[in-house]
Amino acid sequence: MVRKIARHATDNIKLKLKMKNCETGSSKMKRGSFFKYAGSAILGAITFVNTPFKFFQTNTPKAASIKITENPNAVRRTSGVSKNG
Amino acid sequence: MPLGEHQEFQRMDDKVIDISRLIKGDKSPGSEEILPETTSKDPNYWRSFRELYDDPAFLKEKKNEFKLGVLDRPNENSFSKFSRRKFLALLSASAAVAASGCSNFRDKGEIIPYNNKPESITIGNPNYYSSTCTGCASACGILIKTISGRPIKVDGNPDHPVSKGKICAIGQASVMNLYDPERLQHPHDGPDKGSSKDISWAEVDDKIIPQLKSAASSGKEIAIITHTINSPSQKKLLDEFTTVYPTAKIYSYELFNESPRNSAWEKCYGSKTFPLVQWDKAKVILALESDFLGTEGNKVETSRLYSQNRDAFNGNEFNRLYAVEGNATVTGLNADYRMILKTDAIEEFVMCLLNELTGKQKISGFGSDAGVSTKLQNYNIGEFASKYNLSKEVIEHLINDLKKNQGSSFISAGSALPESTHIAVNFLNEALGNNRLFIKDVTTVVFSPLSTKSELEALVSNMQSGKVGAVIHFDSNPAYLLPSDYGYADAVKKVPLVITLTEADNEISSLSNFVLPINTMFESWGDFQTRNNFYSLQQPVIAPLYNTRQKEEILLTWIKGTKDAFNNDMYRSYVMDNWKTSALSGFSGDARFMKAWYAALNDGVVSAKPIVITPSTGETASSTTTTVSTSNTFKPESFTNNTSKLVPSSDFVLLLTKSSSLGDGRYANNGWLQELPKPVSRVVWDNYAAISVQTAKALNLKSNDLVKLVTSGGVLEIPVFVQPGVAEGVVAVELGYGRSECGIVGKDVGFNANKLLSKNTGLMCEVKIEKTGGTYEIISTQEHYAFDEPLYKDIQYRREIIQEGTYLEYKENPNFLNDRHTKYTQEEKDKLKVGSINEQYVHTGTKWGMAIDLNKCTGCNECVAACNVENNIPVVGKDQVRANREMHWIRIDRYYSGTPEVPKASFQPMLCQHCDFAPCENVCPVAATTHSPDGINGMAYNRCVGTRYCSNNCPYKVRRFNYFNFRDRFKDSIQQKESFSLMANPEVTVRARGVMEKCTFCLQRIMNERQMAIQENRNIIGSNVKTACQEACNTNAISFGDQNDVDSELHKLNHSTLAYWVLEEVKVKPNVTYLAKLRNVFEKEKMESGH
Repeated sequence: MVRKIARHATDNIKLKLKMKNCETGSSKMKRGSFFKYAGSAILGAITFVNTPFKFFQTNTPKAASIKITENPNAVRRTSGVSKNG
Repeated sequence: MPLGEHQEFQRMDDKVIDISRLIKGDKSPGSEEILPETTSKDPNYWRSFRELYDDPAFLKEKKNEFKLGVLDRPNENSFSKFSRRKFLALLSASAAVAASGCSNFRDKGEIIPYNNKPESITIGNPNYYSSTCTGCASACGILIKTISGRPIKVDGNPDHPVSKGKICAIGQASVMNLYDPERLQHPHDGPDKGSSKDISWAEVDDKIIPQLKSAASSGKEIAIITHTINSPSQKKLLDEFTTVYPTAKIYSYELFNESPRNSAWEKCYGSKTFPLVQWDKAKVILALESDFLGTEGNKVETSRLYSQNRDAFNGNEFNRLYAVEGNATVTGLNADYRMILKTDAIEEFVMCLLNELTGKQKISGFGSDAGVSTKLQNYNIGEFASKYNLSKEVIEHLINDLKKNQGSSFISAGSALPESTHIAVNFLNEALGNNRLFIKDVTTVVFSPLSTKSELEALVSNMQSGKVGAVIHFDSNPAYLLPSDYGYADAVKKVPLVITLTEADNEISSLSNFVLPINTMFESWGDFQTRNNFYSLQQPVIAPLYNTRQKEEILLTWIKGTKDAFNNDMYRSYVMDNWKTSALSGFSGDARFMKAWYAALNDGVVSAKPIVITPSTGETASSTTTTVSTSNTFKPESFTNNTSKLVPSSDFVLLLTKSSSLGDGRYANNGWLQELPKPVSRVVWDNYAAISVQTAKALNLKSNDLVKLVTSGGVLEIPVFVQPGVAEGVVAVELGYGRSECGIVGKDVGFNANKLLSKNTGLMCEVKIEKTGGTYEIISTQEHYAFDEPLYKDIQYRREIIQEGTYLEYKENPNFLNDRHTKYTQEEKDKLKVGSINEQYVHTGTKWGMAIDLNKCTGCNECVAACNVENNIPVVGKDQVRANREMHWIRIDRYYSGTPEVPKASFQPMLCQHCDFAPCENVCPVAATTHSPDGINGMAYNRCVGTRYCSNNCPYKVRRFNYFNFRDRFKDSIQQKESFSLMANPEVTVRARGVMEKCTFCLQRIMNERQMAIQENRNIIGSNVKTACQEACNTNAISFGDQNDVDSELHKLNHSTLAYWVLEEVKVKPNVTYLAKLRNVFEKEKMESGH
C-alpha cells in the first residue's frame, strides 16, 4: 500500500516536472550527457585558465632585454652638484 | 575704460568678417571701421590674425572649452539592436573570460634588489657626472643625472666657463636619443648598398681593414667626412689614421657655419677666426639679421651675457638692442627698436651708417681716407630711410647711440649675410672703436678648418672618376646636408667601399656598404677644446645599451690593423695618454696624473694656459698648441678694395635658417624637440615658408597655402605661414626638416628645404615664389589655452596680463607701475575689494613661490624642454596638438602688439600659479587636487576621475588632461618600448589615461630638500631647491624659493616695484610673480587706461 502511494506520488511529481518541462520548452538532459557536458566544461575551464595569454599580448618580456650597467671608469661628481634632488 | 563697459567688445563679437579677405586687403563695407580700431590702440595685444580680426570661429572657440567635434554625441540610430538577454549573456561570458585572463596578467617585471650593489649606487639617490654635450659644435659642459645607473636628465655644468650651468633645448632633450628604440643595435652590411644584414664586429673589421689597406696601397683616396673637429684627441686620432693610410683625407662640413664672418675677419685683420665678444659690456647692440639670442653662435652664452644688462635690480644700466632684419627672429622681437628691412638691403644700410658716422660726423680718422670717402659718397641714410620706409626717428636714435657709445657698442651681422656685408660691419665696428669689446686673450680653437667648396667639389669629382677607394662617414650625413648640386648622393654610389658610422639609419646609411652603430654621447669618452683657455672631458655614464662601439674606437681598431686590437677601454686609454702630454702634462708620474685625471673627470673641465703666438704666423691651432689673436690692426683696403657688393634684388629673397629645435636636422627623430613650439610662430611638427602680410596680400596667399619655391639650387613645394614682422619680399624657411630616412618619429615630418641650397650661394639667395593651389595644414599652438573671456577682446591689455613700461619711466619713478593704478575710481577700488569665499590659510613655515622676470625672458623655450624631460611629459603628435592637447606643463605665451606689419612682441612663460585660493580645488568632486601647507597646489593622480572641472575653472588654463594614454597612442606605441621606459624619471609618476596633470613646482625636488633638511636637522632652505625650468633658463629669468624667507632673492623680487600677478583681480592669489617688462626706448610708453 505504502509502495503504491509512494509510486503514485513519484509519478505525480514526474508528471508535474514533465509538464513544467513542456512549459519551458526544454527537454530533459540525460544523466550521461550531463556528466559529458560537465566534464568538458571543467576541461575547457582548465584549458582556458592555463592558456598562456601573454601569447596574444604584446611581447613585453618579463626580464628586461636591456641591461643597465654603469661605466666603471666614469667618475661620479662629488662637488658642485646643485641640491635639487 | 571703467570696469563693466563691455558694449564695444560685444559689438566686435557680433561682427562677422572674413579674415582671409582682410589679410588680402580686400575691404568690404563694414570692415574699414574694424581695422583702424584694432590698429589705433597702442599696445593692442593679439596673438594671431584670427584674434586680431575677430574671426567669429575663433571667438566661438574661445567661448567653448573644447574644439568643434570633440564632444559630438554619437549617432544613436547607428547602434545595433541588442537584446537585454543577449547583452547579459555576453556580459557574464566576458566577465568570466576577463577573470580567467587576469589569472595570467601581463607581468611587468619585479623589482628585485641588487645582489651585488654597485658601490656608487644608493637606491633612490641620484648620481651626477660631468661630461660634454656633442649636440652641436659649441660643446657645452653638462651634468648628467643618473638614477640606478640610468641617465634621466641633463643640465649644464656650472663649472664650465662658457655655458656656466646652462644648456639648450637640444642638450636637454638629448637623453631621448640614448633610449631611442630605433637606434641601430648591431652593425649591418649591405653589399648592394641599402640591403641590410646584421653582422658581427669581428666580421666588420675582417672585411673592412683589408679593403682600406688595399685602397691605400693602390693610391686611391680614403675620404673621411666629419662635422666640426673640436676634440684634440680625435684630431690626433684622425692624423694617425692619415699616417697609417696615407691616401686618407679629412673633410669636415657644417650646414650652419661662420665661414662668411671668419673670411671677412681674415681679410680685415689677418687672423682666421672672428674673436669672442664681451656681450655683457655692450651698452648698445645693433643686430643685423643676427639671431644671437635664438639660433646663431653659442646662444647659451650670448643670451646669458646679454641678459646681465636686462636686470632692473643688479645695478647695471639696461643695454639697448636695435634689430634690423627681414625675418622675424627671437632677437628681433626682443629688441627695443626693430626695423624691418629686406635682408639684401642690409649692406646698403651699413654703408649709409658708415657714411653718416665716418664721413659726415667724423667719428674716426677713416673719413679722411680718400678710398673710403669715395666708396661711401653715394650712400645717404636719409634717402635710404625714405626708400625703405624706415623710421627716421629710430635711425637718428641709433646714430646718436652709436656715436655716444663708441667703444661700448657692438654691431653683429648674421651668418646668412655675405662676406662683403661682414667686411662693412667689421669696418663700422673698427670706426666706432668697438674692438675694445673683443676678447684679446681668449679665442676660439680651430683644429681643422671646414672644407671649402672647391675641396668638396674635388672630392665629388674624384668619386665620380673612381679615384676614391673608400668613404667613411664619421657620424655625418652629407646626402642630406650637402647642397644637392654637389651631386654627392650619385657620386658615392661609384665608390667601392662606403662606411657609415651613425647612431641611427639616415639618408647616407642607405647608400652604404657597411652601417656601423656608434655610441651616443652618454656612452662615449672624449675631450674637447673650443677655446684656448680650457679643455672639457666627456665620459660615459652608462655602458653601451646595444652592440655599439664608439666611433673613435672603430677607427683606432682600423689604425691598429687587426680586429683583436679592440677593447672597450681603448679610447679612454688613448685620451688619457694624449692628456699626459697636453692638458695634464704638468702632472708627472702615474699617481699624480691619475689624481689630476679623476679631478678633471669630477669637474668636467680643466683650465689651460693660453700660448700667445704672434699674429704673423696666422696658423690655426694644432692638437697641442693654441693660438691667441693679439691686437690686430684693421686693413682699410679690405673695405675699399672689396669689389663684391650685395645688391638688393627686385625679386624675393630666401633666408634659410637653422631650426630652433632640430638644429640642422640631426635631432629630427626626437619627439620632444619636434613638439617644442617655435619661439616666434609657435608652430610645431613642421617647417614652412614665412612671408609678410604684404607679400601675402600681393600674392593672394594665406597661411597653409602651398607655394613652389624655385632657387638656383632646386625646387620645393611648401606651405606658407603669414608671419607678422617679416619684411616684404623676404621668404624665410627653417632647415632641418623633411628627413626621408630616419626613425618613425621624424621621417617625412616637414619639408626638406636643403633642396633649395646651392653650393654657389649661402643661406641667402634669390627665390621665385609661385602659388600652386593646394593647401597643407600647419599647426600652431599660439591660440591654444587662451585665457578665455568672451566679452573682452584685448584682454591681455585690459586685464594687465602683460604689464610693460619703459626703462626711462622706471628710472624716473620706480613706482610707476603702482601709480598707474591710482586712476581707479573709488567705486572700482571697492569692486576690487570683493573678498574670497575662502578663509586665508596662514603659511607660517615654508611657502613656495616663483618669480619670472619678463625683462630677461627671451621666449627661447629652454624651460619647456627641461620641464618635459624632468616630468615625463609624453609626446602627443601633430594630430593631438591640432586638438589643443599638447601636454606641456609650461608654455610661453607670445603676445604681439601693434600692427601685423610692424608688431612688437612680449613673451610670458605661463605655468600653474599654485594659487592660494585655487579655483581648481573647489570644484574637484573627489578632492584630487588639494593644497599643501607649504603652498603647493598638488594633484593626486590615482584619485583623479577626470571630470576636467578643474581645468574648466582654472583662469590660467594651465591644466592638461590625458585624453589618451599618449605613450601608447603615438606612432606605433614607440614611447612604450622597453628602452623608452628606462628614460622615465622615477621620481615623477607616469600619468595614466583619464587623469589631469599640471606643473607641480618640481615637487620631487622640494621633497628631496625636505628629506635633506630632516637628515641634517635643519630648516628647509628655499634657495636649495631649483626647479627644472629655473635650472634650464639661460638668462636666469626664473627665481624660485621660500616666499617667507625675507632674505631670499625671491622675497626681494616679490616685493619689488615691478612685481605684479597675472589676473590678480580674480582674487585667486597666485604664487607666481611676474616682473613687468621694461623697454629701453626713448619714448615713454603710451599707456591707456589699463582696466
